[in-house]
Amino acid sequence: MKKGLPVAFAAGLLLLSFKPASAGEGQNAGAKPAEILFTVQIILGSVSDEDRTDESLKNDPVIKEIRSLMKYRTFLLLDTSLVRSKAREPVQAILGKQRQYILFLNPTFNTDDKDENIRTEIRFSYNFPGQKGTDLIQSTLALKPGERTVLGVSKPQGIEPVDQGLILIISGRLVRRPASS
Amino acid sequence: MNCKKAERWIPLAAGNDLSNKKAAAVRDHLEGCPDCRKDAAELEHALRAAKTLAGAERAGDWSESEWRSLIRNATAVGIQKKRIWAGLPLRPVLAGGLGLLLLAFGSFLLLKKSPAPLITRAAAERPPIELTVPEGPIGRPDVTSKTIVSKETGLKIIWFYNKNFQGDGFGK
Repeated sequence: MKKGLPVAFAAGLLLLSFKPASAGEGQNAGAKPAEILFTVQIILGSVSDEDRTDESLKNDPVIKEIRSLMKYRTFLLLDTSLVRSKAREPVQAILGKQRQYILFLNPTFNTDDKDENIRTEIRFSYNFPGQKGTDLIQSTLALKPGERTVLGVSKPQGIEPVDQGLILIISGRLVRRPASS
Repeated sequence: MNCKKAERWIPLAAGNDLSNKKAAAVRDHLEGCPDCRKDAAELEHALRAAKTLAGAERAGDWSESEWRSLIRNATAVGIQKKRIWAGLPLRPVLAGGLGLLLLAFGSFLLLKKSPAPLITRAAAERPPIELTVPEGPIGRPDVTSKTIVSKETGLKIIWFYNKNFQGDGFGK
């Protein structure tokens, strides 16, 4: 019975040091996944005689490149967003002034001796309230960190004039490297 | 002197075990307190009876210290107060209590929930929108696409066709 006090004290310390595993840490407890920051721009491109491109896009090299390759002349910035995600953790963002676009990303980060690679599943859909949602873009992308990639779709709702296209410019960069503790 | 202190000193005074000053104080108290006086009389009576009995048994040669011990034991039984924890070992009880306290604190830490996320007023005022994880496997898209890569800058353009296959935006 005289050992009761130290035993109780040790049991208390053991309880205090115990920390329950949170959801998602099951199999890789202690390992910190990479964190990726995506920059997303949604742009409406249209064919028009007059160039009414937004000032913020006029000197953008990617827009200049698109202009040289495609028939669109006017580019309007609909929305810009930063989306931060941990590797292997799906993330969803709502974009557009009317919150009509939903962007779903599920990234992974791979690295070898030569280079680093961000690979992500992407699904971009139009989901205006009261209307049936439509998948506009659905793919798997391989991005180099910092590299901008253009995705686009013509007549996104199928009812617009044929001279319009919805353009998504996406880039990703690593904000935290994976670490194992 | 109050009655409580007198109760402790009366047996000692009966056995002449008090200093003169304390014995005088007891006597002064007994003069003014009939209850204590009665108790003292009963005690002296019992003491005399005990001495008589001891004398009859030829035990009159008991020493004073033995008498004192006898009187103390006899009087202590009557005034001893029973305590709830009397008889329980102190240290194990304290250890058990501390253990329970730590257990409760540990349970509190384990069950403590994370604070609710703060919702800004602007966010609360926005119309609700239903978030749904896309259905179907990603990687086998049912949307046809075309990819072109710029030779000059390496810019990759992936163009998706709508369900009616209308327009690809390429060309000038």
